[in-house]
Amino acid sequence: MKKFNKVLKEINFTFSNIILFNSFLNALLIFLVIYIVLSLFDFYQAYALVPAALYFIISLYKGIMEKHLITVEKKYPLLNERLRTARDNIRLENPVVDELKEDIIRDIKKVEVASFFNQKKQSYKILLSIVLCFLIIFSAQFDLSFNFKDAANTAVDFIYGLGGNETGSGKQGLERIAGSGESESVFGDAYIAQMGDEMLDMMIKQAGYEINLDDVKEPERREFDELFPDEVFVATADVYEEKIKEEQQELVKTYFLKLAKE
Amino acid sequence: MEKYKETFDSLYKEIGKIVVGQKEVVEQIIITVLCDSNALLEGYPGLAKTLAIKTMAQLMDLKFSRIQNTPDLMPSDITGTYIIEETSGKRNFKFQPGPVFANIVLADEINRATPKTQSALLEAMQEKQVTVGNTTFKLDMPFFVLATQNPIEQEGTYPLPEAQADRFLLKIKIGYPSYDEEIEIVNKYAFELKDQKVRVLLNKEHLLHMQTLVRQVPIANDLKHRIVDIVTETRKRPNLIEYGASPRASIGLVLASKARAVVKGRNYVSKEDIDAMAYPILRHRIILNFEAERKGMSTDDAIKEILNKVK
Repeated sequence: MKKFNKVLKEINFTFSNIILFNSFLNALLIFLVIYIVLSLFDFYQAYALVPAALYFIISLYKGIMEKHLITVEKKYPLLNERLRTARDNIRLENPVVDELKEDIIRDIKKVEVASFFNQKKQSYKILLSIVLCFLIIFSAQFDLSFNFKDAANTAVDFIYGLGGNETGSGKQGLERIAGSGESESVFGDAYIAQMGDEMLDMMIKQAGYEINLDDVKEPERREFDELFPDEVFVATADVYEEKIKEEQQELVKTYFLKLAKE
Repeated sequence: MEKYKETFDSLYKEIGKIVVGQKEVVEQIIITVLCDSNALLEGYPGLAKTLAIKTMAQLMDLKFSRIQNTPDLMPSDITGTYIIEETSGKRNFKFQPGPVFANIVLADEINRATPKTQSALLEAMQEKQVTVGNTTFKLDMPFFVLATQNPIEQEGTYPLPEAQADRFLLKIKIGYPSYDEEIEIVNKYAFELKDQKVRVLLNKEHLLHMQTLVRQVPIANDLKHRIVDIVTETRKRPNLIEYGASPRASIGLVLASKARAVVKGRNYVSKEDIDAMAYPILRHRIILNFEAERKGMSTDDAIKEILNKVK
């Protein structure tokens, strides 16, 4: 009985390995294909992990739930129905069951693990995954992508062009594409607007906006002089002072009022 | 298991000297014997039903007796009766065993016996014992009743009630031989008079051992489920079947499949065994409804449909 138990465990272990490998390889292929598609269309590539992980989990679950003994029996008609019968009656001990188990242990030696593993198919899959990896490297190197925003702008321009209402240049043209906005400053300086639809070859150095945490220093501590002068007074220049007598001030005021009225 | 297969192959060969063809019938009779049960044989007259059973008894070195059932046959004619015996001037009642006290009992044309006589045979079949007066006598083991039934000439017969028919493990249908087989039958029996002798291949001990062995044959769980599915399906088809098979049919199908596995030299039950044994196990346990009969369907057609449905 122990020997037969060992046979069953070995079958399960072998099939678990095969299922794990197959699921992983297929999930990898799914990941690579979706990764390429996403990077070509300028989407966030990490999303490729989601379908690949989902496939891996489902495939693994289905594989584990599969009845491995039936798979062996189908491949080896010699063992047909015998494996299942012996497994179901594993606790039963009588001459007939013992004979059945012994027969299986003898015949299971004819079973080859390679027969459950489609080497040709798996080789193609591995080769395909290598090709896909190279494709990803090349597309990254040459920055291959279809920019949907540019394509959309071109399409809008084309449609407006067909309607006889060209996008035009300057502020109006830009307004048509980007909207007017609330502030005049949105359009910046006039000379920029004058450029119209001309294409600019610009490079924005993102590094300039980034903060390097290594460059951030601790604020300097400065010592201030705590001693203040004994007397603080406001000194006014003599030239600004009016030296008009008090009794004549009314007269001057009236004079200036008259001047103002005239 | 191989040595048992060899024994059965020799048995077929030996019986083939007397009975031409009918290999399936012989196989099913052996299965009945291995299951320690009884079978009902149905076939037209002259198809070697009696000859096959008699030959089987010879091959197995078993005591054989035959009861020709008639409407005036009394239960005591089967079971035996007390007779007055005079020994040394004294008269005593002595039990005189009837033909049922044998290992293989051939109850020919059982449907011609009255229900009272049929039920006397029932006790023997089921309980393996006979009660006469106040005394119960155990029958010699192994014990099998192989009853034959004639499908024609139903007038003046007492068809077996369903409850009684259910007690037979198998209903074996005996068909006509093929053309070549019939030529061989003619050559064998129309020119020679001498009886063919057969070798004894099995004995009581062998048979009892094999009966124990049959019950030890393992069966896979999914096949057990298939058996129960087949039997319960007979109760779920009101458009075809009026009365389905009882759980006794499930037990019988498991047992008969195990016995067939032994006969075929296998130490496990196969789906093939179940499908082959479903016909003789179920055909006398299901009653078709009027609609099915109107369509000209037979019970075997209904069983075939069920087997195709149950995967």
